[in-house]
Amino acid sequence: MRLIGVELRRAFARRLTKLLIVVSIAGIVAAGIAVYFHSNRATAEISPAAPKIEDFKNGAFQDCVNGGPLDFPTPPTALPPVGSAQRAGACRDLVDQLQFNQAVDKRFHVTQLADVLQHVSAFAAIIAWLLGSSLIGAEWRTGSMATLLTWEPRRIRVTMAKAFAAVVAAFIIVMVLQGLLVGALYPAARFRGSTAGATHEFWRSLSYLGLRSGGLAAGAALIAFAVASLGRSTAAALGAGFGYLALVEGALLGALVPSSRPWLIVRNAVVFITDRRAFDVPGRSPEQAGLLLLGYALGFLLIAALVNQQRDVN
Amino acid sequence: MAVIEVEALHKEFRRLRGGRTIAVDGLDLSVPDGGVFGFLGPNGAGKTTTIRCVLGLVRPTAGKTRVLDADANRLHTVIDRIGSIVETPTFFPTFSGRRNLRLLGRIDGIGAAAVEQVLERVGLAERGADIFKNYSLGMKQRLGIAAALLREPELLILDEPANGLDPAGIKEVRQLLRSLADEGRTVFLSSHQLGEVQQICDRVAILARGKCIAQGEVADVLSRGQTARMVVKVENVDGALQVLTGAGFDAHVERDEILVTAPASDGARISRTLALKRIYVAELRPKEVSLEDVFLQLTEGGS
Repeated sequence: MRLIGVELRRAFARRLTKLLIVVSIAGIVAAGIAVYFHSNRATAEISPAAPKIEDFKNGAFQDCVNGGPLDFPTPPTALPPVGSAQRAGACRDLVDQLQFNQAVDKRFHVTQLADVLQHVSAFAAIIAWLLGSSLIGAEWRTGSMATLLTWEPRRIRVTMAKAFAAVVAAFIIVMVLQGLLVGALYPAARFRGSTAGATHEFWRSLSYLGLRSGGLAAGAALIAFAVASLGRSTAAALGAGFGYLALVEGALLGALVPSSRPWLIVRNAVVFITDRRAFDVPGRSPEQAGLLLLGYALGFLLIAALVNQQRDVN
Repeated sequence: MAVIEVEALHKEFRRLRGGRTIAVDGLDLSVPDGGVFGFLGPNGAGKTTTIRCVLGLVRPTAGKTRVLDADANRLHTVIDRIGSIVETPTFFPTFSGRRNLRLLGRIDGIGAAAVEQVLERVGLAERGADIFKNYSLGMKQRLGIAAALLREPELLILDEPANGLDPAGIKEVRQLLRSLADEGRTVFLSSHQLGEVQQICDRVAILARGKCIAQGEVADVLSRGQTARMVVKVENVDGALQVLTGAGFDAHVERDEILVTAPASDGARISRTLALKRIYVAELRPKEVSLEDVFLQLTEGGS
């Protein structure tokens, strides 16, 4: 426990951690101010939205059914073919999930916080990746790992303590940043936008989304930690992460081997955060996707721990 | 009782592009309890690799190591009785020296007071708040020694602890190590600063090409290193050399002195031989053998 405590202290005392927190907070404050002034309560009063929203929905539905260009946040990848019997039903489901209120209403709605957190979760995962990889990568680069191992030679224990610190640090930082983000955006909805829909159920759902986002960040930190342990460098983890996610998952497996899609990290991460199971991994719940990602992360950690157990420390 | 035992230790490093380097080649070593044990060898002799094997940082290719009666797999059971420095000590570069020590200390529940004590002992108390990466090499060494002392260890394994220190610092470290040994601790000191080693060590081992070529008490190692020689100073060097070699002595000139291969007990015979030819000695003394002489003779012979 003492070792974990030391590693947690170190994780939070690192300059990179402080820098990321400060930059993130600055971004959150800037976003809060920007949204506050961009949100305009007057627009709601001059635009009775319902008929216009219906027009947009119908247009989007027709575009979807006919295979036209879709202006959706996440382009669907698993829609039935154009002209098939299932196409119309899938398009109806798709269109019903979309929010059209912004098209005619420039107010910031508190219900938009869910969209914001979903999008921010990708940045949170990147921050966590950086934190997790640099926590161990910097130790290998500077050589301080050797010093630590002369104090605690049980390498598995050291690796696990550091991994735990990386996960906890990433989770706490992301949860706090999300809290601050919600706090920064809420005044825009409260004073210059709309708090309609802010029911108990909404806040519960938003909290669960925030937890999942924190969990995704923790998983990213753990995988990055494991990869950086194997490569003994932060750069190795950053390079491997980018190379795998962009090239292997994005270009090769995702495009050329459709059967691999249900097992890819990015697609399961999307399901885990957005619950859009119909598009990316049919039939998989966020919880199932989360468990799969957790399995991947623990697998990476186990490999890293076993490899480090055998390798020389020079 | 031996505090460090190394038995037939062998370590090979394989290169990615093929080939291999033998760093330690069947090393046997026994470090007794108490005193200062000097571990000497030229660069690349395998000193640091041996220390890394002993501390569990490097896996031996073959052979065994035992420290404080614990083998490599049980090293964690005795690690809190060991303080060590391996090469240049490395800590978290953006933390202060004090913070680095406190973090290390926390692992064993060692408090801030003990950290201040060791900082004071190594002369870093006033610079403890400085960032580690801004330390000079000598200060980094001092911090490494402080970290090694933090656990009040009974065995100190120090790899070139005086590296980068100025003469005053070297003297301080020498006194510190001697005082630690006098407190009953065992100090295992790897160094190439042979003058220092000779002054503070009770026993030494000399390593060359991964093998131990001499081991024992300093006096024993000195005596086995070189044949006894006498230094003769005279006005007529050439004449004296001719007389001595004519009388059957093995002699040669080195600078303005004649070196005669003979024990000190032959001093009278040398003096008499020269005097009979009316050559009178200005100086006649045994040539002192330094650890450096022995070291060079043994390691060059080994190579």
